[in-house]
Amino acid sequence: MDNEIQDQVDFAQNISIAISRRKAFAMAAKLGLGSAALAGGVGTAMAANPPEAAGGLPKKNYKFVYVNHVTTNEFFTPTIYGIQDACAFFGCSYQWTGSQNSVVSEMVNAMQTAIAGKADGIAVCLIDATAFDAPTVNALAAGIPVIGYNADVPAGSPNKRLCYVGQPLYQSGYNIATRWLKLVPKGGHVMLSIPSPGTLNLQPRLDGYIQAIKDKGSPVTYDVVNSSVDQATEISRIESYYLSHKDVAGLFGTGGGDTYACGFVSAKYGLAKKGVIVAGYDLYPQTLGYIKAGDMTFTTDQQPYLQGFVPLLQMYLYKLSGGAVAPADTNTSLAYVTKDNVDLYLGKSRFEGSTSAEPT
Amino acid sequence: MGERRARGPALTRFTCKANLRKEADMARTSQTRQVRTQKVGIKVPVTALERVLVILSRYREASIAVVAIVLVVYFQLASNGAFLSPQELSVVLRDTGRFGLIAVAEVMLMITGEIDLSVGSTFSLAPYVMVLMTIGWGVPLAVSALAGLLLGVLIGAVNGIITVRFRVPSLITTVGTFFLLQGVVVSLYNSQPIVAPVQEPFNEIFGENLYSPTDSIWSWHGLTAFTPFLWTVLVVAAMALVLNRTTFGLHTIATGSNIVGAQEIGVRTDRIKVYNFMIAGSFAAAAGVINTIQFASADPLAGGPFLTLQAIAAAVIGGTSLLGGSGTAVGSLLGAFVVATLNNGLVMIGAQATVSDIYLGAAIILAMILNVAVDRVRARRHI
Repeated sequence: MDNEIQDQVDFAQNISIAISRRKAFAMAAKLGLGSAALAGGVGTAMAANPPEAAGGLPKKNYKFVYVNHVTTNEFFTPTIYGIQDACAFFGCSYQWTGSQNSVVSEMVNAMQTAIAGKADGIAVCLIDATAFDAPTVNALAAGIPVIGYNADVPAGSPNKRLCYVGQPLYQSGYNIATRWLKLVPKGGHVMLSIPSPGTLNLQPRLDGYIQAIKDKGSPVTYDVVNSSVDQATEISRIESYYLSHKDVAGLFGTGGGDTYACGFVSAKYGLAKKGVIVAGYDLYPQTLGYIKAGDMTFTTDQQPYLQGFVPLLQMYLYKLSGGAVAPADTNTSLAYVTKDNVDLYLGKSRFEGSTSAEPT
Repeated sequence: MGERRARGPALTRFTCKANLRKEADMARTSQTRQVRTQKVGIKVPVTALERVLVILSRYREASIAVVAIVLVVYFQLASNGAFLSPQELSVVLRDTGRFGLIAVAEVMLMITGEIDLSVGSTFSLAPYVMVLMTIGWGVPLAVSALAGLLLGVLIGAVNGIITVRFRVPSLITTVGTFFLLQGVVVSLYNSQPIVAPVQEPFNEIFGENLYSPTDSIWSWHGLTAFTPFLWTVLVVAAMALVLNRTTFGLHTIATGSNIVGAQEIGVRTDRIKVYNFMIAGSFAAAAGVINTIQFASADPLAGGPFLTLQAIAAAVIGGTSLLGGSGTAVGSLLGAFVVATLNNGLVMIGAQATVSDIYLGAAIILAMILNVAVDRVRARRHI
């Protein structure tokens, strides 16, 4: 039993200092996470003491509301799995709501509905710099903790959210660009793409890219292409760009879709194999295929599973402790996926959303 | 509303024709009675400019063709000759194929005075179901693609029946089914994009691009660079024939231009509308299937409102009236080409992300103004 409590402490510590995927897998295994454990009663702790599933922490019937800006986007499938697993673990329930197309007013309405419905906690993607300030204050006044995830308000914002769980967007763009700038030859010309200019969860990445180019002081030049949001248009526009700029030394996406499109064009013309650097964000199955085949240099995993799991864990502890355990900022990035470690991602995994089956 | 408004001009058109025939008869009789003949209302082209205008004005699609040529020349010059390379043409014509197939679906409906906004969702759903069937149940792609098409037909039938039976305006019916189907496609498999299977020769016939920079354009691989476009050309040609040469086409136009008159002469307008909804659904599904095969990827968000709007823009730019009663299949293909050209040409000439939509929007409006202006020249010449 002591060991388990120790595990629990380790777990909390590990979570608060952001972590690698392997650790997440290991933790999940250690704690017997998810339905396999629940259904089968695997693990000694459960067999010995069934009511206290979480090794001491009680199951609570809390209801947490996740307000998202693109509720049907495939990126968040692992996030939902993370929420489900945490809910199963702590006996809580959740609601996945918000907007399908980044409509801020719909998200604010969803927050207000959650406050009116006396939710036990709200996790929200803060895709607007100011719109969520008022509902956040209202929620906190009603005793409902609010945590930002995936997208955050800019530094210095008066927003009162308790913490942010996710990738610091601007910083991630800056770090990724620093990584590819080492590979792009001096004086090279690169293409940066953005699916929808101006959205708070993509624009900061692009700004990070551009700032890194400027700070480097190297004479790298760039064009920014509006790739649009649907797959076919993204591929067409990036291919058109390449065909009219055949000297391009790098293709860099800021979203999952345009990163995939960069890989598609690279594979078609053998660009990466000719030395063009191709990189971007997220883990579309095709993107991983391009990395495996050598048509893409690297992509970035921002660990969407943790963006669901960690806010729920933090809200649960906050409620349970009456506010004594304060939610802490959690950086879920940056794990780079290259040809060397891509095999880890290519298998079916609930943590990446490619299967709903729990690991055994 | 649309139906009633469309009725006026159509009636005038019929009366005009009757008058013309009367005038011609009178002219013929007067010719026999009197020695001097007189030509009434027709100006004979004299100068070269007038002859060009006559050719332009004979075809409704001519004005948009002029716009397309202007754009191609401009982008060819501005991109240092990259625009008319085989690779880039493949990109632009593939886009044209995608927009065009959906645009011609809209044309059929817009002629009847209806519209279908759900095509963007059908475009995502049909290929998604196709790929799931093939991966999950091992059904050959050719069979599951057919199932996808039938699904499109079914969606069209539901749209049509709700519109004509329950008297819901098609704008609202199809906004409803747009959301409904988008919800279905993302819930089928947890919003995940699926890598689509490749089964030759099905894939290379229906959209897979085997053309690599080293291939000759005049080879089978070169041909596959254009298959989505060629399929659309076939469909557009078929629809042009249907509209101009068949009873169904005549009834479709009659339904949109004068629904009461059409009903009075025995056209089953409700049925005509439902059939056109089914045609639209199947075209949207076919476009989606070709798109998925092209990229070997079934993306639940492949379609969406953006695609629907571009296709409607293509149809209207091509010369189809939003009020019903008139439209052209060939025009919609040219309209789709203009939209695809703008989409890619602007990227080629280096429009930066933050301003590119300004150019795109302005160019669509300018293209439409130019189109209407050429159209007006035609109308003024009474030919």
